[in-house]
Amino acid sequence: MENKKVLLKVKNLKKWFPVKRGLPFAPKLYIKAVDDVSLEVYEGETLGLVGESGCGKSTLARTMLRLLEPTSGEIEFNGEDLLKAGPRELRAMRRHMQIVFQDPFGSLHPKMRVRTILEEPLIISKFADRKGRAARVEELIDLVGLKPEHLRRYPHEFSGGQRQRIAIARALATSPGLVVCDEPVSALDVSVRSQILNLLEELQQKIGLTYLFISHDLSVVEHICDRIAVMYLGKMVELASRDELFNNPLHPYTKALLSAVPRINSEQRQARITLQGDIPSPANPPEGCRFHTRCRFATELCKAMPEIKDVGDGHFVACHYVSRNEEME
Amino acid sequence: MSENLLSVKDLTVEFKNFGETTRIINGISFGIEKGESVGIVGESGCGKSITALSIMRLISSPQGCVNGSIKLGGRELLTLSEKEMRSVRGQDISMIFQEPMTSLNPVMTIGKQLGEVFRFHQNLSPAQAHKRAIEALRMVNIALPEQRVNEYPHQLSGGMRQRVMIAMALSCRPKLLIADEPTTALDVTIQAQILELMAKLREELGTSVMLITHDLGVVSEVCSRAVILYCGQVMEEAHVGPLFREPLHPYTQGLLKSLPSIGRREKLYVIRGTVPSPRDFPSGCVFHPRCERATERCREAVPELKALEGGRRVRCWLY
Repeated sequence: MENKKVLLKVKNLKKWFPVKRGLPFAPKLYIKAVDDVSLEVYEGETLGLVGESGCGKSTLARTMLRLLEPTSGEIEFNGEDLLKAGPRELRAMRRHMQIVFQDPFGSLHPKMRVRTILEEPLIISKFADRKGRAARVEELIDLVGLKPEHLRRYPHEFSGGQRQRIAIARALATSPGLVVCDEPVSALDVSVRSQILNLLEELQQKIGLTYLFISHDLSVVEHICDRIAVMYLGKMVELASRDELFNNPLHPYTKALLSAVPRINSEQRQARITLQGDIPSPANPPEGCRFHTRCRFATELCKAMPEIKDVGDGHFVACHYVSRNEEME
Repeated sequence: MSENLLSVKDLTVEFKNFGETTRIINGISFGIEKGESVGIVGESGCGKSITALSIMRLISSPQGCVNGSIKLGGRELLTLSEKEMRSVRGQDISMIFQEPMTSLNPVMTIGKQLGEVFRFHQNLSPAQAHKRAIEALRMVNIALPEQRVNEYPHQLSGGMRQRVMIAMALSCRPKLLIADEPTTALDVTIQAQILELMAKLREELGTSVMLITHDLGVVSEVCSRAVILYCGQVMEEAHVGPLFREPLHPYTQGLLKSLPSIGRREKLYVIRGTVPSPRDFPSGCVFHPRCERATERCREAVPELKALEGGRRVRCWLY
């Protein structure tokens, strides 16, 4: 990763949600949705964020855009400190970072026409005059492969795939540098999913976008991402380039996750590592390594929190087992 | 070839809405052998769940109209009275649904819900039913079944709820288990646990499984045969190996090519267009507007479901 420009950088980011106390003087409890995550997103890349439900991947993405106020930590976007920005500055900076949500049925206002939906971000960011906005809206609808006559319609008149196209057009309205895609294809059918994935890739090449791509579907992530971060219970457990992660996963959780994906090709199938038990509740995570309760290799050592370490070539792992192996060799 | 446990013949399902009749399922036929596991695959709206509900006779008339023949072990299900059907459900066929939270009763303990099956089908006393419920939970590997049996569904995780559903479905040793997207709401590592459990129980109990899913990966791992549905018709039917090695129907080919698969990173294949609404299914072959190899003939005439060697069937003019 030499000389790549860092677009978004977070350091020791934490997002703790307070839980209602049962008694007035009971100790304060928190759900540690994101706990001490440091991450860099390079310009022009697609960074994948994977993990099972409740691992904090959506919270992390939203906190990174300051859609949620972080509990502590630092966020730097394009060299500017996002946390120091006042409401007015933040609004100006939001132009450059947009988000596409999972559910194309819930994220579009049902009583607004597509034209209004696409125009809204332009009005907020004070983009050109009425005429300029109309031209931009037509440009956008063409960009995502829909027709100008669709602008007059309401969201309910579209299929799921088309709606997701509209949501993407809306995100692109203000020409952002960074687009966060929060499970953009999870609600879509197989044949439509490939259309949207291709569209996202085309747009990236055409406009030079940076994506932060959240998904629980590893085959989708493998297809579209350059680097992948794996999360478990609010912690980042592994971060590596795509080829490195899929060919040489180091963390036991990543290994189990990869082996759990159903494959069509029987030659590709690996011996399955079935994890026992469920994900612990994030309100009461295990001490030390969050994964040790389900890990095959867990020892006494795992009761202490492992540091996330670079094991070479930008491959980061948080596991005692891995670093111990290194020492032994 | 052994006797079919379930045979569905020319099943059609129509729904009436404001005087307008919409045909959702158009002449589906397939069979499931004893101890076999068959996948029913298709995108949303292709009629997979309606097929399952018709087999369970859960489509309410008069809005829904089911025609054709559904035979379970030689017995016609469509002509049974409601009372006879009630003893078939749970006893001979049972079903698990996609969302384990909404299919369990939130105000009843797990034990009560499980016990109900035993009390209804086997006339056991409440105490005996409670005991059997604990055994059933143990069968699906739930830790501390004596404790869990008195808990409510909201106290369990998604994977555990699905285990309870499986325990309930298999508690009377049914001949056929219909699983409607049993793992879609679950995470991959939990999905792997549940699929493993289902495969183990299928072997132990000799139950036939009809697995409804849109995930081709799950089918190729769990099922021995697969039926591909599109717009209420069977497009292709084959054993899993040949089906994924060399799919015949252009729709199956398109589906397989459009999957992002690990270790391959070219541009994804796209099936153009979208699934048509049941109210305006196209004429001729239902897939022709989206098919790359469609000809004049495909637009005009509906192809037959042709039987090929090796128990394969395909509905396409190309073969």
